[in-house]
Amino acid sequence: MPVSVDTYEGGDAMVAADVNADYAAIAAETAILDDENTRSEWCSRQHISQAGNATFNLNFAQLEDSNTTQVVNSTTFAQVNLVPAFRITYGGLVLQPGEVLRCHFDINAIAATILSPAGTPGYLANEDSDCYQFRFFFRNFVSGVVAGFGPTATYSTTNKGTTVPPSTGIQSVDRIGQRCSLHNCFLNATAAAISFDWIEVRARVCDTAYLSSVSIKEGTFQVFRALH
Amino acid sequence: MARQYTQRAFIGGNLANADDWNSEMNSSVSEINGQLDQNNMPLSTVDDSKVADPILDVELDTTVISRYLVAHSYMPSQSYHVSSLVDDDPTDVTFETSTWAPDDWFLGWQRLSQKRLTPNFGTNYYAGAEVQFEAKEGMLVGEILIDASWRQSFRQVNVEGDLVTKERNDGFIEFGAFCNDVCIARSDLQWLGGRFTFVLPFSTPIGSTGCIVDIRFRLIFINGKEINPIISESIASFKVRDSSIFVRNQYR
Repeated sequence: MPVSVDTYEGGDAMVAADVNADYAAIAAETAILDDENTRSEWCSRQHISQAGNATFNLNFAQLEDSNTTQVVNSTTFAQVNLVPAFRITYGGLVLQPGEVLRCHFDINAIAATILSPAGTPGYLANEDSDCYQFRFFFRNFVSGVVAGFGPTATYSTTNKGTTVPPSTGIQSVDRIGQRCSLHNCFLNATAAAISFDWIEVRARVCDTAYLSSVSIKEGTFQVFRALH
Repeated sequence: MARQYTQRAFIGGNLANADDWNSEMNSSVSEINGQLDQNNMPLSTVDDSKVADPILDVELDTTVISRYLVAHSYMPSQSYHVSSLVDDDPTDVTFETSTWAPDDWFLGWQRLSQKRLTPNFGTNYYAGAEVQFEAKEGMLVGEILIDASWRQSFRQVNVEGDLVTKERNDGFIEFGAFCNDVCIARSDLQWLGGRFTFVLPFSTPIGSTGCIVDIRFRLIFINGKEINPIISESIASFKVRDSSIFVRNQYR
């Protein structure tokens, strides 16, 4: 904030106490400089700390593995675990209102065991039946609640539809061997801070009557925080 | 700027002249009172704690059935803009969705926002399909995500008196990200015999202007040869479930 000092007229006696008070005011202000003390655009690139790229994008974390194959065969979302497990642990990372966590995950689906249930050989019960899915989950460090967040990435293993065809003779094409991606830009749109214990990727198959398992391999998972 | 040199030094034994005193003191104080600039400040010292916090602007955030979110975060060096529609229960097989029956199709690019109208207190939003904001000169960088399903279409033909069902493998789809009606990313044609989630990154320069980023798609049938009389066509509807857009505006 601005500093105010005494101004003297010709013939005024400069009293020691007043002069000392002026010096003290300047000394005090130089320790608490704020926006009123500086010109606009005073901060250049060279003034920003580069230590660990710590100012604008923080807490970059990445996991990847290209060796291990995981077989997903549960209809309940389970952690993607290619050894290492695809979990990034923070132990209390606080995301203030307006701050952002950007998450990206991608992986190959290399094989699937596709079934054709009796009674529906040429069509599906619903749009999810022959699909497998990925989703991000996090654990709230304060409450301990685990919840999914962001969109779900869903991939089908056939081209079948839910419309009953006039005959079962139409060809079903198995769709495997595809690269699967999932992203989410998690913006804390609440008025309160959110504390993250960890973030992980989970996968599941939607209906084991149609798709008993899918094998996944060669995944990458990145998360970083954007603050400013 | 740096403080100026001492113009009238005081000499031992002399009385201090009031004008000289005022001049010297005011030159120091005026620097502190708003004239400090990059020459005064130490390098490599501005870190997280010294930068202003983001300013949050939430246009829409509802979790009534699915989560419709349109929100903006304005930071000192960049801004983030998010528009998403997420079914918070991914096991929900009712497929919370937007459906384009064949009668809804148009030639060329179609806006996802056509079916993603999200009225809220008299204002229409397009959660997961479009995001609007005031951009500052710099770059836009972001991604669109769309969980799309376009299943097998088929037709019945008459082959010498017998009804035969044939699959149609000549349907293709393309997704695009548009900024103020200019295409800034596209997926190229995909044979969408099934359900897929596309993640499409984009980047583009931008001026200081109002800005709309939205998701579009086009559906194409390449009418292949069919030598037999066609009795009926069953064209699968195009459906979309979760979708999201995020845009980062990096200021110049």
